[in-house]
Amino acid sequence: MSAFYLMVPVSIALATAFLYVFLKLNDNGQFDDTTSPSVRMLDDKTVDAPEAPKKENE
Amino acid sequence: MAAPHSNPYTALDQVDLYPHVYKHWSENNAVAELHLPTIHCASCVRTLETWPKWREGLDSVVVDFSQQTAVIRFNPTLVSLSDLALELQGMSFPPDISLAQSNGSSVHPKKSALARLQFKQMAVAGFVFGNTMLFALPEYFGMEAGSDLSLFIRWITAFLSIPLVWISGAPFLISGWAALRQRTTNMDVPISLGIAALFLQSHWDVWTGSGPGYFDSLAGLLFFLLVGRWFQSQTYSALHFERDYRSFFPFSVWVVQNGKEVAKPLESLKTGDLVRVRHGEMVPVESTVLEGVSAVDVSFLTGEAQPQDVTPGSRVPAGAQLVGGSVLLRAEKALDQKYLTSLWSEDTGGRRPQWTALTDRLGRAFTGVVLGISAAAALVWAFLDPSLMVPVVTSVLIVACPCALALAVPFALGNSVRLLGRQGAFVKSTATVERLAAVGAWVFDKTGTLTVAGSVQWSEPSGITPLQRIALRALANQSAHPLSRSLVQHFTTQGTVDEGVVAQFEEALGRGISGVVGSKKYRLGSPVFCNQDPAAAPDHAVGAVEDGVFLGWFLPLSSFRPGLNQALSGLGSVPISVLTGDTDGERQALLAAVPSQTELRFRQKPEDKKAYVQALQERGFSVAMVGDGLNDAGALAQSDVGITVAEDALHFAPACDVLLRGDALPQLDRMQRFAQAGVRAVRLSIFMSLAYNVVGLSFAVRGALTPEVSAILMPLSSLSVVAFTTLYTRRQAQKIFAS
Repeated sequence: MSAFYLMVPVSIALATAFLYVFLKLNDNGQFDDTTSPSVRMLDDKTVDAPEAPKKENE
Repeated sequence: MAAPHSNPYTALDQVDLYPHVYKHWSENNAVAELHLPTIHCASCVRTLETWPKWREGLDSVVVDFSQQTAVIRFNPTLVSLSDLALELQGMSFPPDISLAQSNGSSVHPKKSALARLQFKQMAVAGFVFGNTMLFALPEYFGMEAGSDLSLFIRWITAFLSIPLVWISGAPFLISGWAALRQRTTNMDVPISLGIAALFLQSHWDVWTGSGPGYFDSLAGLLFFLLVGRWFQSQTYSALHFERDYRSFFPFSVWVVQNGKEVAKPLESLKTGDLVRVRHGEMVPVESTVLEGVSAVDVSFLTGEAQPQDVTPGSRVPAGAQLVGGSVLLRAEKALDQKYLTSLWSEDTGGRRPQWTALTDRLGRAFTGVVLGISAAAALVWAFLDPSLMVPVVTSVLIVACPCALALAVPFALGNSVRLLGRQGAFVKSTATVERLAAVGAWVFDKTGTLTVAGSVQWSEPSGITPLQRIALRALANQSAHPLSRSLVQHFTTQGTVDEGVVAQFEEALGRGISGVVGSKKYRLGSPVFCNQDPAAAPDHAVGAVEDGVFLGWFLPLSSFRPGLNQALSGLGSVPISVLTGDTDGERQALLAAVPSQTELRFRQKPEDKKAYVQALQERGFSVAMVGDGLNDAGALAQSDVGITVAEDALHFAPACDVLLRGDALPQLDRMQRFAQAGVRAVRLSIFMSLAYNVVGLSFAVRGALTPEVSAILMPLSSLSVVAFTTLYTRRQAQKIFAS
């Protein structure tokens, strides 16, 4: 049973790490708009994002 | 008064720094829109909108729930915006003022800030909920209580509950506290009491070593509440999206391209477009006058009653209504449809104060009853078994949460508004649906309402010259009256297209128009307006006069909308009247088009129409007035439900509650039946949520309802109300409109 004393804090630490990553992404706007990116990628005519790759040949 | 230095919002008072905040500014009248990200429930809206009642200098506050914005109208000589912003902060609605919003499309960052906060709160609640449930398991499976390991786990869950209440519980606690401080109650008050009771009781248990506490139910409660709230805001924004962009303004504007007027959809209007606006129409965007001398009525925007003169070069604000001759405008800004929508829906001040929605009264009584029951239960259990007192009170508070009640109206009537919009009726508010359902007498205007404005054929007076045609077409083109529009179409189909220049244009409402074209003065209008004997005039004729010489009659052959008779009969055996400013020449045609018991009145001036509506109301009827909003604005404002039939252009009648697409008029009877179905859905769901509460309470006061079960039962009742209202209204819409 003494393993619990180690396992419980470790599991909480792990879960907290995931929570932290989620909150960080949330703050950066990862989940702001889940609709338009999925639509945008279907349209290959618009180059919207600044980091979009350069078009080699049209 | 706060010292100016201590106010972080002082910069807000500089109008030129915050052009996106100020919608209008003048000496003693300013309109500002603030983003208040903490608006989250119906009572927030009430709190903010009743603020002007006790705040001097504040004229009105109108909240846009899904966008979390408030449009504040105030008098800058009495109060400054920075003071108002500081007070808002004190009311737990800190305004979000960032310059980033100033460059146009501000909707996105605003909404996402709230969504991020909601995600954060849900994530923390979910995290704590999962972990606490997991750690609570050994205890439920009979692990030796009081062992070192169980104490260790208790302390961990107690520790986890701190960020839980701090982050996820904050929205409820803050809003509940703010309500108490203002000596009102909202639905967050009982929720906050529940949270506080659970939290303190659990910590007491752990610190004294008497038990494991209720941390798992606390986490579960907050998680479900937050998910419910998120779902609600998702639905609201979906609703709002449809209201805003798809259906609200089905109008077109007359854009001048290459010297020709083309009707274009409102949303395709761009900066720099040339727009023709006529008497009675609304200026769609802020523009500069290029041609024409006229006046605009801005009473609707700023409260200034006098129409203001405009000449070439003048700037006119969006939403101004043109009174006088037509003008050519250049659009200076892009279309802000939300702003136009807000103009229409804001015009609620002071109208029909006698109407208090049933749910408002019920909701207010509710909190008091709940608090009373919990106090009584607490007293009883204090004698029976003090150790059960807190759990009982907690479960009473939780199970009685008025969420289901609060959801009934927005979902049932909001959904009705949406479904009516699909049928071509654009309803101003959910309260309008309730009023539409209760209408007991109908009054119709004839021209442009029962008749189709565009399809009227005309016969011309004999001997009219092409030059006179050009002049009369130019004159008629100044007016937005259906007869004028129809005459212009007639002339256009006859091949007369050149645009003459009209000076000294005047419109006598319901009688006629006059103006100078070239060197001659022309009049178009009713027989009296043309100095002719009305008795000798042919049926329903428009006279034309050139420099005092009578030219002859234009005779229309009006066509009534198809399906009219059936629709009016479908309204049931209620008083139906048709009022018209025209002569009774068309009596026979009208009689054939409407049910036989319909009352017909001819030669009605705008004030007669208003008096007629008033007389019906005095006889105890709830009256709906259906008109085109041009010469019946008074009657529309007087009626209980003002319905404006909109055919093509921007006829914008601020007094109306419903904008009806012309071709949707024959559906009117079905629309009323559907509105009644919507109200029935509200009644049923109120009954449902009360039934839930009664059942839940009867368990809770006996101490038989554990906080865990009630934490599940409560969101379940909310979800079932949402599901029921949505399905019921949709089913009714199919049944009523499909047949």
